[in-house]
Amino acid sequence: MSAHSQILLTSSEGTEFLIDRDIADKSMLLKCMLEDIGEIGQAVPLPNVSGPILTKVIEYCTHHRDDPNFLSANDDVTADIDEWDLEYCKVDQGTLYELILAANYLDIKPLMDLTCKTVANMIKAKSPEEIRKTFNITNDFTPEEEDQVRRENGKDWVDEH
Amino acid sequence: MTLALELPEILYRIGYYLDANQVLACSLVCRTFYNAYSPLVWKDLHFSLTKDQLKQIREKTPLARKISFRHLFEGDELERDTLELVSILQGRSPWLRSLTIHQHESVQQFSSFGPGCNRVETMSIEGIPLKGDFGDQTYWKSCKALLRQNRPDLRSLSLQNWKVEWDKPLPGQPVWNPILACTQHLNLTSLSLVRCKIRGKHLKAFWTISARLEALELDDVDMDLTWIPSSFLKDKDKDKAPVPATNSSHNSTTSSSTSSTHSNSAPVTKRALPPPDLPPRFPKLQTLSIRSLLRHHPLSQFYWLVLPCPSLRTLNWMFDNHRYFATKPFMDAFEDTLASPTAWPHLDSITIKGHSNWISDEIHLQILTTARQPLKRLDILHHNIQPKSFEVLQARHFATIQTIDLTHTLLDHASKWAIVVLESCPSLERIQAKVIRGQDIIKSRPWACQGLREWIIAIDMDFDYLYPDVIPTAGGGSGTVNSANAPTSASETTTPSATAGGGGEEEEEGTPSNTTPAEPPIFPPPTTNGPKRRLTKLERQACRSVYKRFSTLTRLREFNMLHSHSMNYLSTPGIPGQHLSFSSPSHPSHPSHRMISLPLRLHLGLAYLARLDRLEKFCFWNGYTQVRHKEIQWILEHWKGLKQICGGFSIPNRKMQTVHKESSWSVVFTPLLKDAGKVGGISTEGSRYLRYDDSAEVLEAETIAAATGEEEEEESVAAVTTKAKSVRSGGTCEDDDTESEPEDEYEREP
Repeated sequence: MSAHSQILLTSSEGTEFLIDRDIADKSMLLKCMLEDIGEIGQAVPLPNVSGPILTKVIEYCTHHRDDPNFLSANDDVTADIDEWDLEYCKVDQGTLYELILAANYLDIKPLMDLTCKTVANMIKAKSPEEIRKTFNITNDFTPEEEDQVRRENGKDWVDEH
Repeated sequence: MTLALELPEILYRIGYYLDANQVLACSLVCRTFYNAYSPLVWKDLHFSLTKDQLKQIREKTPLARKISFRHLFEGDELERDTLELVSILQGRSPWLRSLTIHQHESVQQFSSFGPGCNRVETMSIEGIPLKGDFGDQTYWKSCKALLRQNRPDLRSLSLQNWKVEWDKPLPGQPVWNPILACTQHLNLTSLSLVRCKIRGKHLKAFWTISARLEALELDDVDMDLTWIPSSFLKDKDKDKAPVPATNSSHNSTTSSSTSSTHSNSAPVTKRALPPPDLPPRFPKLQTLSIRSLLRHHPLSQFYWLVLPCPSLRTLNWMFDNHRYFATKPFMDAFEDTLASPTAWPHLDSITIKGHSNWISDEIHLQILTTARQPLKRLDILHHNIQPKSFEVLQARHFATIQTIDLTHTLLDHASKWAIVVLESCPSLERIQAKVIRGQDIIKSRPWACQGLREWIIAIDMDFDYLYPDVIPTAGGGSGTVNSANAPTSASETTTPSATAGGGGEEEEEGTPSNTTPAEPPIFPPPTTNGPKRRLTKLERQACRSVYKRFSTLTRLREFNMLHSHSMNYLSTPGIPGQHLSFSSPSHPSHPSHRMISLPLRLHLGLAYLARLDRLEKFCFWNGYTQVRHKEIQWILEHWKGLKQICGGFSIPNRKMQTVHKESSWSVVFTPLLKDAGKVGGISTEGSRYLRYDDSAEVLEAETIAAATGEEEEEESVAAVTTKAKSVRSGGTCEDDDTESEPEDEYEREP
């Protein structure tokens, strides 16, 4: 029965999404909520997730719907990202961050891992300055502090890049 | 920055996919990144593990750069955990830069992990006894391998307990010391030997290494430095005089001049002296630290180790108590004249400690007068720094001095001098003294030492000066012992100033919670001096003024008002009627009353310290005041880098039973830190408590109980203590903000 039941979600702008229960269950947040209070037939409001992002999230969950290893999919740190996921993450940075936040909020671990891994890949082989540029971060260290951190970290890390 | 990259949990997840170098790069990006990533990188791991620690490591798998193994295998149940730990660390070993191994068992377990460590820069290895059934050779092999594979990178090596039994090794017993392997380590610039025996071929290896050393520490090392025939020594000790001039010249003429003292000993001396024409043994040495070389005469230490260091910048020299300091030769070499320039032209940081019989303030003065400028540090341990020395210090070196230790100074001078130092030393980084008075801080001129990093001085609020009219009568009662009598007697004499001093607020709070018509103290009697009552307005202002002076010291790393010297001070009981004098005639270096703490209260000025966000260590004397959640939370919120917090408490004798079980007063902190959501990462080490005799209080409570006509004479002790508590809480230092005090940790009855 549960396979066929459907859940109504409302995004931050008020757009409604009707999804299957087993897809909603990919989100620990929704799963626990539904288990706790049961299906009340009302829309579940998700004020932290916008419509386009929710669409993306549902796309992810739908693709991995029947994935038996869903929860342990990304445990292997060194494993490569599979092709579909790689394609899935080819979005602009803004969307990527929103996906991370949504995954964090909805508590969808594999999506969280995937998106974080994607960000990690953007960091790899970059110097601090390049990282700042990539993510548009201002350097808020004082020169003295920066020096201190550098010293803490040892001098040789720079050489290895 | 986008919100996603500001959340630590997200940054952490990202970090999970990065290797050590990438994490390092990230920690340099910005503060948010630094806060998220630096714990992953610079976890300084000390493995004498508890279950909790292991759990943390398992969960976080930090990219450890420093690892210290110590007493790892003490419990059987730990073994499995240790294996797991080792396997976790295995993957991280290439990132390891610092490695400490104590206990050889660790190394054997460690052999699976060791081969990966090939970029180690700092290594500390403890030796093991050669006799017995230990697998010595296995251990040596591990050490050898570790040393070999880190040859290019090793910069600093520390060896402990590498000594064969003092008697000769058994026939066939191999003798090995890692120092033998070090002759090939061309980048090794720092060596530390603690409890080691360096003789024969080992000594030879040591002299090979010495040429490239920049830092050397010798602590309890038997070095086989031949020198000075015993007859000569005996003579010296008998005289107890500074070394005759004959022996003092530090140049190549030494050997010949010695002969004039004792012609019969001259040949021996000649043979044993360091060959004069050799190039300096430590041409690059900048930092030398010598401690407890019991088997070597100071003169021998001087000629073999101290003198041949032309690049020396920092000298740290400690003697055992029975040896005199080689004053004359040292001063001759130190003094900088045209005819004989100083042996250490770069020396600017000097610490010499030994028995005060041998080291006088004259040497101190002499060094101060003759030292080249700049001088950054001069610590000569002797009992009293004389005003004359301080004057010279002030005149010649205040502009450059970075570290000042006034611990061994008369208390009366100490506070005053400390203030002068704070006012006028712009380069000051560290100041240490026993105690400074709150009033001196308040009256001081603006402080020049804005770069101060370490403050190690107890602060005594000593409120008495606020009430100049009050002269305590002898026998008026001391703070603790006669607290029952003190309030009444003092309140009579002090009524006039009480109205002026804003004592009005006292009245509502001061009402004792018992039914005896005991007069509520209108004015705090000076003999109780603050600790166990509510502060007056004047006193609160004083606290705020003191805190305020610290508000600009934003570079402060250590703010320590609870060092060991202050503990003497704290435990000195008050002497009735004498508390107004800062020092008592019988114990000039001890104050005559208990120190009054600077209360850890936001509204009393702690909030001024919000900008001290680099604080790593904060130690305070808390007296009878309670530590509250509010302040702890504030501290954790504002001092993000805090690594250690410790405090001192007064605990009544009676309460010791409850506290003693936990054996430390972390009892107090741990719950507070836990409540604040931060228990790991901040150490409460160094916290302590003082017992105080509360028999008077108990007595008082019993009297009250009797006076109220309670029938149960067989009252249980618990009931009595509850009474005592209620009495005390009437006079406990409380706050003028309205929120109720949380229960004192000690006050909870078992």
